[in-house]
Amino acid sequence: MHRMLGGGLRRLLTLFLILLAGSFSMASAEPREGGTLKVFSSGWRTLNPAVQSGASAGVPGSQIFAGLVEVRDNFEITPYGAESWELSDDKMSVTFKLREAKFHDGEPVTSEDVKFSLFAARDNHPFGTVMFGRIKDVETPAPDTVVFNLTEPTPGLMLSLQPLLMPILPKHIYDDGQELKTHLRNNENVIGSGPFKLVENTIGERIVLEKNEGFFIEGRPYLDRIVITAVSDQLTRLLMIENGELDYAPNVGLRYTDADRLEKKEGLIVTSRGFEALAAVAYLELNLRKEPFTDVNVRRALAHALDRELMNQIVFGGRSRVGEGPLHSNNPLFTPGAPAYEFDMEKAAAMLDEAGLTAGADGKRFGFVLDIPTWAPHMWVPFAEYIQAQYSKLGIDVELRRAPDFGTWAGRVASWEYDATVNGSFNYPDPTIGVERHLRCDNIRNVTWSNTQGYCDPEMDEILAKAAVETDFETRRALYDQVQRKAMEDVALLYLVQEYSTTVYTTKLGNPPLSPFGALAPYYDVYLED
Amino acid sequence: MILRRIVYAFVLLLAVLVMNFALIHLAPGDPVETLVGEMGGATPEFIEQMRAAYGLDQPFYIQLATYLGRVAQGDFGFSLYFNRPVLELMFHRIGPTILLVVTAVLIALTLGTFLGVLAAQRRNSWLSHLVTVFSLVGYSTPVFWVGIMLILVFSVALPIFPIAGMYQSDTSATGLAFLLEVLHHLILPAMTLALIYLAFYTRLSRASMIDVLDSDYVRTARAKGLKNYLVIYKHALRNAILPVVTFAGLQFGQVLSGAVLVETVFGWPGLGTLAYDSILRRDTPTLLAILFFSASLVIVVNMVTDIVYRYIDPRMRAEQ
Amino acid sequence: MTYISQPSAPEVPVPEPVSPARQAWRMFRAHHAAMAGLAFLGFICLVSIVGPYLYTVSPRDMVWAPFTPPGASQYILGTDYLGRDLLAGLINGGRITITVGLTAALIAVTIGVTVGAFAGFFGGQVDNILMRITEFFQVLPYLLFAMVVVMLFSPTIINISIAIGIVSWTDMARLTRGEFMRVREMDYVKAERSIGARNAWLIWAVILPNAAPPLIVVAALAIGNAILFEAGLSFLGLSDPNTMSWGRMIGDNRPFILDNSWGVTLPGTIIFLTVLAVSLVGDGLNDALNPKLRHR
Repeated sequence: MHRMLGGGLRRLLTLFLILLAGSFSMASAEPREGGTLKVFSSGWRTLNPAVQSGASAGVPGSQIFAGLVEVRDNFEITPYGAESWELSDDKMSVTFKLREAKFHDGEPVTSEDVKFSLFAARDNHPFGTVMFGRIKDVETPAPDTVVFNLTEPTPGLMLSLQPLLMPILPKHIYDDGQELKTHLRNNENVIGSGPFKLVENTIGERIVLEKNEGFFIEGRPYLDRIVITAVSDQLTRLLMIENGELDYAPNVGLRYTDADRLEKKEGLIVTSRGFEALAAVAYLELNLRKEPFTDVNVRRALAHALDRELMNQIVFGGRSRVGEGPLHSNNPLFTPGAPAYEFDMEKAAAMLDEAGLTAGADGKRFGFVLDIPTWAPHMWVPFAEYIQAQYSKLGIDVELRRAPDFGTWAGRVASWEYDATVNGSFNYPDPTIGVERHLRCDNIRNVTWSNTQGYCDPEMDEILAKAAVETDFETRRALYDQVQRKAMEDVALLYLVQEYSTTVYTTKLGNPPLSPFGALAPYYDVYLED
Repeated sequence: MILRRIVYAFVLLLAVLVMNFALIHLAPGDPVETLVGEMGGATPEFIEQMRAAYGLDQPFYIQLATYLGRVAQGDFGFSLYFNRPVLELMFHRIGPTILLVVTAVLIALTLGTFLGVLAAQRRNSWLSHLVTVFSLVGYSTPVFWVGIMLILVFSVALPIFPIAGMYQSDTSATGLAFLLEVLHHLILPAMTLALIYLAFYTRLSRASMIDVLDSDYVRTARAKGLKNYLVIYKHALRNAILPVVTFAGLQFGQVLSGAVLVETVFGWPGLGTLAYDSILRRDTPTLLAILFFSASLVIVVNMVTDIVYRYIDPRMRAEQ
Repeated sequence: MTYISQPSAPEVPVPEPVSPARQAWRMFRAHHAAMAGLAFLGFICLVSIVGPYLYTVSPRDMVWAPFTPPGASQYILGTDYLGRDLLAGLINGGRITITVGLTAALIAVTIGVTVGAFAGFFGGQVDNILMRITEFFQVLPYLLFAMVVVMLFSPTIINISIAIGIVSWTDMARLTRGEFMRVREMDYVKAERSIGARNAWLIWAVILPNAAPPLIVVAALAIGNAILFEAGLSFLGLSDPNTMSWGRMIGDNRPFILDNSWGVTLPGTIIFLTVLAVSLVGDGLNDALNPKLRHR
């Protein structure tokens, strides 16, 4: 009797605990509506991602504009502005069925808007042609149906149809004869069909976005407001995160010392997730038109003279990994094991001697100017300083050059008027967008992050062409492994270390945007707990 | 007299415009190249089209004439980088900078004069020495350094003040509450900027006060049996403050310079941060407008100083 | 940034048997703080000149683990974010910082004295025009203008020195002009003039030496100013990436200040001490050269 009572009590208690726990987990499973999300930006010039790549336009742009699809974890493509789609059997055309949606000004979203937007992105986005160059034409048989006809199968196409890369723009606003790149409505009274409406855009200060009550996904977004503050100083940014003045700090360019610091702080989560699609491998770009970089053995010698594991230690505290070629290890098509250049100064010196670059009477072999990009100085400056110090040991004089502004640096590289630069570019989900551009002969163009170094090899072109249209995943992966190995062998670019990025957010943030596009994806699912 | 000064001020401003315009155009590089680089590259046709749109394909003197003509009509052009009218960008930024700078100068002036007078009265006292040491230290410390230290102490170690900005990013305060919020954000940057000039003004007012106290008419006043504080605050102070005011006016350009650094440290949304951003983006029209406005500000302050000077200086008043 | 008061005409001192220079030195020596300042400056200059030969660690090489605190390794002041020796940085950076300070001050003094001398000597229209030009440079916000110059013409040591020089000569010009106007009316100048001395002779050989004392003080302070100015520019990221300077060390290490404060504290303290030493010397010079103003 006594035991039974005890057991019953215990059972009751257990039941109570379960209920309690249940009510707790219920509470966190049920996202709270309302609240203001505080994010930062290092500054923006436009809110239209069709004319500007990168995070500055992408973070606000993906909230204001919707796209046809969304890219979820593991690069899964899910319906967004398009309800469904169908690929023709010959893989030469895709038909999209559009969801019923309205722009913020009440106008309906139609297939004409999609058609307009696709061409707008193709013609204005820095790599618009790479993404959409294989689209032959677009048909609009009905207001809710749109068909893309392709010139050849394009496995990477779907990934480019998200708001970041192809925002659905209101044709009735942008198709007024103004140049899209400098259109006034890229900044004022910007209208899209995305989850948030623009209410304030004070350049250099803040962007205020408000919930779009008429958003096409029922019951979303959860947040009432998003405030994006401009904080250009990195230390200020770090202190604001620490003080809880920001809820969510994506791609903060955190130094590893800061990450170490913030990880110890209660109420904050530090993660390197949310960059899978934006992963980049940092490289030393040698202008292959210039002596002595024309000689592949010189480039190999230069590769041997850098201790890349040490570079990883210095700049990322060992949190990243050494670059193994153009593909980032997060890329699903990545295969590890491409041969690397081991760190060996003596070998490097011997190879330079062999290439005829012997040291002169003053101990100098040759010299070159190394440009330092203006963005992410926490990474480029130490990399450049390390390279300068290493090469000076070999008798190579490296003069570091800082550009006054991003455009000047980009201009130097795009006009091929440079010796060398440290550089890096997003891999993007598909190598046809992020990788191919640096290696194809016909992409030697006067455009930043194209094949500016001037690498051209028919064999490479052939592999790339095959890989681009290969629809079997494993075969495709094998082809990109060949690309990887060949790029390393030829030192098409001197791959250094994979870039390491961090996102910091408060534990109160529910459904943090950590998909492969992270901060550049829509935030309609994000909520804030009390 | 006043009219002549105004005309002269205009000539000066014209010179500022021409000189800066020439300088920026002389520098290597081209804003359109910068812009196109920022966009990630564009076709040569688009580059030419942009150059034509901004008139950059014209010869230098025509560009200059066009620019001056537009400015005369109050049009400072379009920011190349932000694609907004320059005046609109500036409009948001002038207020915060004036608020910061004026607060700092007022703190420095009042506190500085007070300390200086106090030190002058007791020459060779510990207070006097302290003022000397303080002014030397104030002069020798980099402004941005003071700012960083204040943040570390009063925002990080003791979280009394916010780290950056002019208001909470998600502020919903209005009216008096908003004013208080701005004030709360203003204290650290204004103190930082004031500290340096506080040192200057203290030293200056101490020196000139000593001069005045030694002068005959103060001695006479004392001999006549006037109360000490009356002598000091009614007669001597008025004279002692003259060089301080002149100096404050003359130095205004430097105060603005200090503001650039302080704004950067504290993320204060003023002209300084805008200037910094514009330089980084080679945003010529914005840069020209900022240089123009800050020069105008200095000129206006100098004029006001003159007027205040006349008001305070009994001799000048007697002349009029 | 003068903080010397107006050049209110000091009376001609009562002639004494001792030479003025010796007299001044005696006064200066009595100023203990100024002597300390001078000694410190001497030390800094000595280290900057011979230091790199005695302490041969390169400021560029990574020699030890990054962020080694002072005293924790053979590199006594510790290392920075790349593992470079901070002591080597301070020694080699001192060279650059002092050079920038001296060059910029020299430019400022040369322009300032020339403009001021001509304006004060000739008066009239010349004075009018030159003073308008001075005023023009005075209304430009110094730092902003220097930033524009350095940014647009690329941040090299030479450009930085020039930029600092051309924005900081106006005080010097005003002061020189005032002194020239005063000395111009002195009897001995009138006497020289009456025997037909040429203008150039009058300006450089007769008036300038007599107008020099207050100018020397301001010139000394100009060096301190230039050092602070360089630090400010470096703080904003406008430093020459190929040379180490104290300002650049602050700018580079600032992002790590929360965990590794010494990278910023060390160069910051050195800048502070150096500029303080310069101002103390300026103070001493002021006492020595302008005896009437001594009690200030």
